[in-house]
Amino acid sequence: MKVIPEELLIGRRAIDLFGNIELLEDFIWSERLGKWYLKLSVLMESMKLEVPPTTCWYLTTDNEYPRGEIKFYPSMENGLTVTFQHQANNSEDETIHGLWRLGAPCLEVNVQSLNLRYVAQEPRDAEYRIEWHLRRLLAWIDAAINDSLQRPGDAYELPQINSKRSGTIVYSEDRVNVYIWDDASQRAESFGLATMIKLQKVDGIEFIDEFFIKSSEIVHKNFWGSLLKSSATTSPEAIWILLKKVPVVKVWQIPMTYGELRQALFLQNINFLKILSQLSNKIRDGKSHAVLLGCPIPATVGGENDEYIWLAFQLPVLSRGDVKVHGFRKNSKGKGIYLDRLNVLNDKAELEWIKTGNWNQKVISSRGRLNMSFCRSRILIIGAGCIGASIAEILVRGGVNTLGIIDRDVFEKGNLSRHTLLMDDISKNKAVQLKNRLVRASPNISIIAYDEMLNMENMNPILNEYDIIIDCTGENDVLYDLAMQPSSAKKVFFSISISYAAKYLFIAICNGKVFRYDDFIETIKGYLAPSEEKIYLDNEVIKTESLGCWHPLFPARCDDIWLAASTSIQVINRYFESKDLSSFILIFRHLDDGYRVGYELLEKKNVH
Amino acid sequence: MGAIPTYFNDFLSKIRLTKEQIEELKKAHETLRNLLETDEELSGSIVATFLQGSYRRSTAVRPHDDSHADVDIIVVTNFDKDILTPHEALDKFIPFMEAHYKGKYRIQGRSIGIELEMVDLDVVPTAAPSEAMKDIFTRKDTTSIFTIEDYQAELTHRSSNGTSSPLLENSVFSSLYSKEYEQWRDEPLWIPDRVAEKWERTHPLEQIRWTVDKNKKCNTHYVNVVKAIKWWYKEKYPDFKQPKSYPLEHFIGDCCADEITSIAQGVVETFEEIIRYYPDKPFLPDRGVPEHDVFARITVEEYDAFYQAVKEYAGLAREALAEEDTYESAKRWHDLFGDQFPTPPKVTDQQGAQNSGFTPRRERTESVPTGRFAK
Repeated sequence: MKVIPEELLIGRRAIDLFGNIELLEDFIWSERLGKWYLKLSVLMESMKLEVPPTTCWYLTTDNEYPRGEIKFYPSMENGLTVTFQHQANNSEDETIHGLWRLGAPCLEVNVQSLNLRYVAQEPRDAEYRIEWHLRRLLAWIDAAINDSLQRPGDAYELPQINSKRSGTIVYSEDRVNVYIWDDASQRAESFGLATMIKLQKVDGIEFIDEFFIKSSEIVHKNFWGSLLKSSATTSPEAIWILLKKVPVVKVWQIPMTYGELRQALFLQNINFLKILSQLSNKIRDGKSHAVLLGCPIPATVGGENDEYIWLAFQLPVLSRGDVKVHGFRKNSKGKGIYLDRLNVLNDKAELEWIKTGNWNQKVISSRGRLNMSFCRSRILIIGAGCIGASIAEILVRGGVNTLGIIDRDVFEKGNLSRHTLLMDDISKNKAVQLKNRLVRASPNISIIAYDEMLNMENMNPILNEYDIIIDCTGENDVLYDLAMQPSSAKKVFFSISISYAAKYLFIAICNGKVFRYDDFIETIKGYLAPSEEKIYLDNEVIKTESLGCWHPLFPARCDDIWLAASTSIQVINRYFESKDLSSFILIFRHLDDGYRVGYELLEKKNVH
Repeated sequence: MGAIPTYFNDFLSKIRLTKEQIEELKKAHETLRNLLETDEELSGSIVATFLQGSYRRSTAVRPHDDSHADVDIIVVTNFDKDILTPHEALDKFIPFMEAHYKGKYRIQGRSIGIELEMVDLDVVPTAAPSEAMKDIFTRKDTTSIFTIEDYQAELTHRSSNGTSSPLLENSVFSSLYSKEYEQWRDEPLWIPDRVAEKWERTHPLEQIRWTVDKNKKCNTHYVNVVKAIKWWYKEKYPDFKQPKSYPLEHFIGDCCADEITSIAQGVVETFEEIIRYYPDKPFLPDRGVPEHDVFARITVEEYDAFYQAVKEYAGLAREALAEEDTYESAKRWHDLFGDQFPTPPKVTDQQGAQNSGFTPRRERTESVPTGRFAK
């Protein structure tokens, strides 16, 4: 018998602070769960049917208390049987000891119902941590009794779904789509089939593509990026149904069986089996289809609907109607439903929930996104070298939608030290490989790669497709061409380059139809050597890549490149945030003095 | 509110005999029993041996200092008390002691004390009981080392699991209410009093039965009240020898009310009962041997000192129980019982403890900064 650690003895003495909590069974160690657990009872006045005046709970902790997890679980005997808000799904039992259900209240959430009663930050000391949890538990029970677990203003929380199936179904929803779906829900029939896309190299993820009503009318379509558009595999169609709200039973429990599902949907005037029967000919094909439930939810409790979420479960393979059943005509739709109701869809049959995710760009970029109008522009990166590649990477991860990359060069081993491409890409075209890499960083990005060199013939046709041009070639000729051929529409031109050993960073911004070549050259003259040979001769060491090959290298480490790229992006982002429309040239100098690192702005030259 | 049951639980776990001490006691008992059974001289005279005393009744407390825990072992013999004198009966054991416990034993007034490495044994030989009683004494459940708290634990285990252990079924505790009780109720044992030169009666089975019954009436708190008060007296008055052990236990048994709902309540009410009704040393009839005064060996001076002690601390105990604030309550119990009683945490927030009303934010002396990210 493991000895109860002193910290736990101290911690649970907090029970004596409460006149209405009684310790029933002291801590026992469970080797299989790796937890200590004790049993206690809470007495609280209650008029609510689902919460008896005395409720029994198991408190579990780790051996490392006060570190580790603390949870309360409703006891099988005399414990809660329903699921409330801010509680894990309470319909399942803990199976190793069979003493409690798995519906642990979420006591760490930052919601008013708990904070009003007892705010304070969760203490980390042995003496106080269990006490804090006990107080929160009492507050939670009290709120459950008074129907005040979810209050207006709290962040909306969905009921917990445990999906045992592996795999994810991905959708794309935002605030704008709410109007589309709200409209669709007004129709006589707000259900149908949806096409699904699978990616070749990405296992277990299916993307919802088009939503159909009746046979061919598309009610909504998700606009995915290049990777999905080029994907060949499709999966069996899914059934989609619009709901008025999240389906729940027993206060706040997601349906766990077909019986509970039908009950929850019935409360919203939706007849699940009738829908299945109307889609009969499409889904009785011997394959298993997913069912997608679209539910509007607000961002905060009591607020307006902010977004539709899609819940999904896997329907079992339905009967095919070739079995003879007394009382039904052959092929009658009713027969199919009848059979299924007896077997795979019977009330006790378990719903197989599937994990779903919203991969809308807004969600993916929720940790940080570049300026919105910039993101919505079509951006061309000229030059897929180390600077261009780093800039492209930051742009894709920063949430831009449409990108073009043009470069004729082939990726070489020497590029590995400061490029984003990998060994697999050696000897292949940089633009194409960069596209292949970056489409896998975002489901929404559309990228076109041009394995060519920009010249007078292809320049305008290509540039016409883009609003923002970022030159990352470091070549004067390119800039000259961009100056000589005016584009038909106004664009914003950026040029980004660094000097030898990344000492200087030159950023030129030109708002107009051409790049301002003369101004640029004039400005940077003072910072550069007159010729290439002079650069190398001026510097003490001529570095070459390997012996016997005189090819002067242009030194700069990966961190120098990323620093330059990041600095450039920050400048670009500020330009758009401030809605600047001017043209100018910025010269930055690399800080080289002790621990002062980064680039500092040396000069800003306006261009008229 | 001042009953703070969890604190008392932890206090008691610190004053009970340690696991090591219990192991040693059991080992010592078993060794002795085996030696007796195989001893050429004595084995023929031995009817049974069994552990008795405070350990069995779950009223034993750990020794305060480095002294040994001790346990009583009754050795039921078939010596005829009309033939052998108490002196002779005890002397019968000398060869055995010489052979197996040389240098460690000591013949005392009513027993033979054996000092082992970690525990002390008090071997009490008895004269022959009646034939009917012989049967009872040789039964497994009588001679088992099952204590009252073990029995209690098994009962709880059974009620929560629905299964019963064989220990429960075969325990002397369950047969206590059987019709066998009628048989042995009036059959005490005879033990030697060398000093008084006569055989005396004692009834260990009745003592056990009485304790089990009392513990039940007191919602399992009685044996803990005994331990707590024993500890208090030794802690606060280490120089006072008496009353202690069984006499003290017996007195608490008489003074403790039935139907107590906590150990704390038991301690307080026992103190108050003593003060109210026993200003003078009482005559305490032993269980099963009512003509015997349990307090016979306690002097009037010793009792007066005890009485004053109780008077001195009863007020503190009552205050501790009445205290609403857990911190204040625990502080007072700690003053009463000493360092083995857990100390409450430094600052406790009592407002809102009844889960009504708004609980203000509690300031902590050291706050941990948040808001660092690395992902």
